Amino acid sequence: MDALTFSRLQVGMELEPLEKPPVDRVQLVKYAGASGDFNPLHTVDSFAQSAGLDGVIAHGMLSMGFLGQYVRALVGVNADIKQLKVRFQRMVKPGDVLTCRGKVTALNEEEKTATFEIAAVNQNGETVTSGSAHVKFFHED
Amino acid sequence: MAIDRSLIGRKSEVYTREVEKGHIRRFADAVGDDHPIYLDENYAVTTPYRGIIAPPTFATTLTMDAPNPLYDAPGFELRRILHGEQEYVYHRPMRPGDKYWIQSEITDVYERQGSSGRMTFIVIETVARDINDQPVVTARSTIVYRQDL
Repeated sequence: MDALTFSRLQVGMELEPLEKPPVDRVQLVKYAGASGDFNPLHTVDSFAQSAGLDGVIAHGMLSMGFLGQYVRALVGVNADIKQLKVRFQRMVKPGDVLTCRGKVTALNEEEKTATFEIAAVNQNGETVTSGSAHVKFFHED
Repeated sequence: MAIDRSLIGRKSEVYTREVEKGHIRRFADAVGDDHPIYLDENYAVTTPYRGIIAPPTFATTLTMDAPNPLYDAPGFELRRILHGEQEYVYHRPMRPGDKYWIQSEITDVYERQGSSGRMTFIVIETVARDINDQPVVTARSTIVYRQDL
């Protein structure tokens, strides 16, 4: 997607979505290794069952990672990411397809900052992770 | 010590972490994020960042396999936790070659009655500071502890 510039933004504007490939078990193992989060809830079915689940679930942080990817894809290197904040609302299982969506909720002309409402939504239209991102644009072209 | 409000104020020791380019690459790859600002030095130097930076949620790696004021608490059971909320405030970008001095503190604990029983919410604030003692990232994690699992 084309990186956004501050002058193109308007409050209420819907941002171009980003559809991620399905989450699979290999990705959960890779994410466990790369993040260092080896909680077996995400890789070992029997442990997940001892925690009251049917089987492994994705790391919440993986869905937040998708949203971080989304915000960077939206602003490119035109803006610096100053804050990301999310709530994990629903579990993500292997096979789920997440789409990141966003909307401009606030702009500050003086500071050249923007706030986006962001959410990762699954293939059933359910929001799994949602929150906000705050970015600061480097300069106007 | 139970998992309750008595944990408020509990701190980890200060520990250090270094940011490595290869680790940034593996992390971006695991997420499926191929933005060149995380991967390509030749590209990165032409941007306002003037070099490779880490993806925003790379900050999670700073608290993994590290002293944790909750995990160290007597009676703590890993299988009872879920990640409720996460916030990062970036004071400046994380860059390869950076070294951080990191400390976590339990800043709040509160109870809620959920559909599956009594749940305790634990807020852990982690600050990573650079060699000049300037904050680089402040993280706030809300962990849900399922007491009646």
